[in-house]
Amino acid sequence: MIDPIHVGIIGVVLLVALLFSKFPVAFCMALVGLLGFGYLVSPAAALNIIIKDFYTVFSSYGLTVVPLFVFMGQILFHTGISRKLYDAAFVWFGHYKGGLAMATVGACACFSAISGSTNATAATMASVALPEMKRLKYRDDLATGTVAAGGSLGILIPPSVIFIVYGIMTEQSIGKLFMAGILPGILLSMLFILTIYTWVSLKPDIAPRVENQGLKKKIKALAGLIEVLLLFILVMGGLFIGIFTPTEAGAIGALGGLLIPLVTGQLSWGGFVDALYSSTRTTCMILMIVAGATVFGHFLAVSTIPNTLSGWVVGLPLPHWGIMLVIMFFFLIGGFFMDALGMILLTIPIFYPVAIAIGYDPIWFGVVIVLVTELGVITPPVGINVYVVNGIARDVPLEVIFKGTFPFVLTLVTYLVIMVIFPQIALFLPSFVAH
Amino acid sequence: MKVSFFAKATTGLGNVFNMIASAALVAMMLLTCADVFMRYVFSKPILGTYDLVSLMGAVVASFAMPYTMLKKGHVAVEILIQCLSKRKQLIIETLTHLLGLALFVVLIWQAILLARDMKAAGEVTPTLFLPFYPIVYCMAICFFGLCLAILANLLEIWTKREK
Repeated sequence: MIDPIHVGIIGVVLLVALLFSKFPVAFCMALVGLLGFGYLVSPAAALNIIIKDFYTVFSSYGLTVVPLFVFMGQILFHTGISRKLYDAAFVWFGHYKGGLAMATVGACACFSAISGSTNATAATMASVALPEMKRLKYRDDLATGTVAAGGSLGILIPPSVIFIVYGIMTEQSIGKLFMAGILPGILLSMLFILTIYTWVSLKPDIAPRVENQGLKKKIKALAGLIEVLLLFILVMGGLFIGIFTPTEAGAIGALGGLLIPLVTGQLSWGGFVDALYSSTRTTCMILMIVAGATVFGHFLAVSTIPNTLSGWVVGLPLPHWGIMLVIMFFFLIGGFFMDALGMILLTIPIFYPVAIAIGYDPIWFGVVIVLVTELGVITPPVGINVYVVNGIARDVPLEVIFKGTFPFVLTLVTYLVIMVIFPQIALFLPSFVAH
Repeated sequence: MKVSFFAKATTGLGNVFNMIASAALVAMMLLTCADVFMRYVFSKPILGTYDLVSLMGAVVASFAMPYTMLKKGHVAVEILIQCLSKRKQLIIETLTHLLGLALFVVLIWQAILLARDMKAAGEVTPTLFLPFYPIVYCMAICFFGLCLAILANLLEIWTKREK
C-alpha cells in the first residue's frame, strides 16, 4: 500500500489538472474526493460518504443563510440599486480629481455589501460604470483597472458569501466574520480612492474634471438610497446584537428587499422572477461547491496531509509571519486562476489547521485569505477579474487593463502588510459581537 | 430533430424543477420571517421552523441543479483551455462531461440506497418528526435531471461544432 500522503498528493495534482480542463470546480472536488477516499479507505465507504456529504450540506440549516442573502442581493440588484448607488456616488464624488473612478470604487464597496462574488461585482459594475467613464473621456487603463480592482471588494464587505461559507466550514461565528470584514473593507475602499487620487494627481490628463453637482442634487441622490440603507442597518444590526440568527437576518433582508420596491413600484414581475431564478442558480452553485469541498476535505483528512503539513510547517525554522507569508503565496497563486469562493473552500482544509496551529486568530485569518485572494484576482498576468472586465469591455486590450490594475495591486500589497502588523483592524469590531 | 427534442425536453424539465426550487426559497423566507415575527411579537415561535427551513434548503439546492447546469452556472476555470485548439477543447470537454455524468449516476444510485436505509431506520427531523427519506428520493430525481442536463450540454457542444 502506498503511503496515504502520496495518495493525497496525487489527488491534489489530479484535482489541479481537472480544474484546468474547465470541469466545474464542485465536480472536480467531489470526484477526486470520491476516488481518493475510495482508494484509501474502501470503495463502499467512499460511496456512502459522498452521498451523505451532499445530503448533509444541502439540508444544513446553517447554509440556508446562503440562498436568503443571495436572494436579498438579487432583489436589490433588480430594483436597479447598482445604478442608483453609482449615480449617488457620482453626484457626491464626481467633481474631485478622478472622481468618476472614485465613485466607481464607492459604488463597488456598497454593491459588494449585497454580492458575494468578485467576478459578479466586477461584471455588474463594469456594465454600469465603464460606459460613463468612457463618455467622460477617462483613459481606458484607469477606467477598467478601477472596475476590476473595485470588484474584488465584493467578498470583503458583508454580507459576504465567502465569510458565510468560511464560517460554516471552520465553525466560526458568521456574525463575527461579517463584523470583521467591515472595517478592513471600508479602509481598503478608502485606500483605493487614495490610489486613484494620487494617480490622477500625477497624470491629470487621464481623468477630465466634471463640474460640482450642487448640494440639492446630492441630497436627492441619497434620498433614493435611504430605504436600502435602513434595511442594511436592520439586518446587520439585528445579526450583530444577536436578535436574529444569520438565516433569520437573511430572510428578513430578502422580505424587506421585496417590500420596499412593492411600495415604491420599482420591481416588475419579470424582475422578481429573474431575481428568484438567479438566486436558486447561485445557491445551487455555491452549495455544490461546498458539498464537493466537504467530500474532498474528507479525502484529505484520511490522507493525513493537513496534519502532516501543519506539523511540518509549525516545525519550520521560520518566524510565524514567515509561515503566514508562505500560506499567502499559495492563495495568491490560486487567485490567479479561480474565483475566490472555489479557491478558499479548496484550501481551507489544508491551510486552516496550519494557521490555527501557529496561533493565528481564525477570524483574522479569514479576512486575510480573502484579501490575498482579492489580490490574486487582479494581479498580472493572470488575474481572473481582469478577464471578466475584458469580457465586457471587448475593445480594451488585456495589457491595458493589467496596466490599470497595477497601482491597485501595489496598494493591496501594502495593505496586507498593514493587516499582518495590525490584526486589530479586523479584530476590533468583532470583539463587540454578542455571540 | 431528435437532438432538438431532447434539448427542449431537458430545458422544460430544468425550468419546472427550478420553479419548485424558487417556490421553496420564497416559502423559506416567509416561514422564517413569520417565525421571527411570532417570536418577538407574541412570544410564540412557530414550532418546527428549523426542520422545515432545513428541508426547504435541500429542495432549493437540489431542484435548481438541472437548471444551473443548463445555464452553465457552475464555476469553472476556463483560462487555460481557451488557449488550446478547437479540436483539443472538444476532446477535453467531451471527457469532462462524461466524467460528470459518471459522478452523478453514482450519486443517483447512492441517493436511492441512502433513502431506503433512512426509511428502514425511521430517521426523522428533531421537532416535527418528518421523515427524511422523501427528500433524499427527490435528490435522486434531481441528480437524474442533472445528468440529462449534462448530456444536453454535451450534445450542444457537438452540434455547435458541426455548424
